Amino acid sequence: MSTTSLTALNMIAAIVQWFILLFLLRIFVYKPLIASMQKRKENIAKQIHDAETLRGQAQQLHDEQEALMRSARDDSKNLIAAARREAEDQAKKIIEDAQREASYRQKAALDEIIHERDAALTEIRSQVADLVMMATGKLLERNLSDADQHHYVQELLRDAGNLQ
Amino acid sequence: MNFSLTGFEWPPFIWGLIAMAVVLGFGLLAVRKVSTAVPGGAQNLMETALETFDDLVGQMAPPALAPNLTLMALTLFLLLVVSNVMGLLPLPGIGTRWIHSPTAFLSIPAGLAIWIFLLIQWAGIKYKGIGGFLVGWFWKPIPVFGFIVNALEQLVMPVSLAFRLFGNILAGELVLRMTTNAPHGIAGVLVTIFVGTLWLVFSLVISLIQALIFTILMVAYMSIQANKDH
Repeated sequence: MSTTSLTALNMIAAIVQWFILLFLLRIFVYKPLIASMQKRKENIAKQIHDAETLRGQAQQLHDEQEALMRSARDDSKNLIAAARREAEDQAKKIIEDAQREASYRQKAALDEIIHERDAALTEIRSQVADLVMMATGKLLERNLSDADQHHYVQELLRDAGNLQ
Repeated sequence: MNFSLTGFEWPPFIWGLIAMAVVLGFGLLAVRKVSTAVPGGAQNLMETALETFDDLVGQMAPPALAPNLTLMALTLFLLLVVSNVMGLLPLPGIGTRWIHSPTAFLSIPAGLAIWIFLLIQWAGIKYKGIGGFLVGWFWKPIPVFGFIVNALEQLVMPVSLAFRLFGNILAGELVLRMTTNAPHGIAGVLVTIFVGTLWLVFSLVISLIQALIFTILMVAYMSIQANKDH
């Protein structure tokens, strides 16, 4: 045996061995290995794609929420302002109504007072006249005719009016 | 050096078969529990090797040739690494006297080199066409006489491939064996331990580099043939 000898059959055997090894490796090793690497690559690509999609959706949702929030804030501000305005209007109206009512009542009361006073005055006058007539009749012990009495009364009333 | 057409020697053949079995076993170990998630151990190593060669071949070879050439190159590399390192494995009590690298027998690297030579001719015919191939052989760089230049170039290529690998591996094996055959006594033991260890590390690196050189040259020659602009 010599390491430097060149033998044709050994050369051919080396080539054949290499071919068999390549054949077996291709079938049993490279094929599943490449398939698994390819699958892993696809998985990673898919995951990245999914993550991108999710991120986009999240951004969109976030934007929507923000817009919604902003509009809600504006709405509430407007609502509060409108409510305040309405309340102010109502308060003003209530006050005005109350004032109007009060002045009306005051006027009515005043009218009634005047009316009552006038009535009382008339009543007092007629009673005074009667009393005077009675007192005078009793004083003079003299009966006057109705016509005369009436005449007196008128006279007395005029005097009383002048006295007033 | 003697040449024989009919002669056959068992040791290189047997060691070659063992190297092949080791590569195949490692490959099967790599895909035993093939995982698409996180590869571990042998699978990781195999995938790294595959991707490295994919990059390497992808840079040189045209896309049509690259996938097949990648697998061929990776197979050749794995076989050569195992073959080259085999002769450096010390067995307890035996040392390195028994295990031989198949690549330390001239027939094996020569066979592979001749096969690469044939492969390159095939690639030339396939990618340049038979006309372009013949023109490349006989008409370039000068008509008719170009053949002499090309023949020299093409014949030197497999010879240099074969002898480079064979010489490096045989030298590594022989010197390692010399260190284990050092004379008895303290000096001999020290030589075996220190020089032997140093040489072992050196030879391991050489084994890997030679396997890589052989493979890369194969890829390069193939790519030159397959790239039409050359």
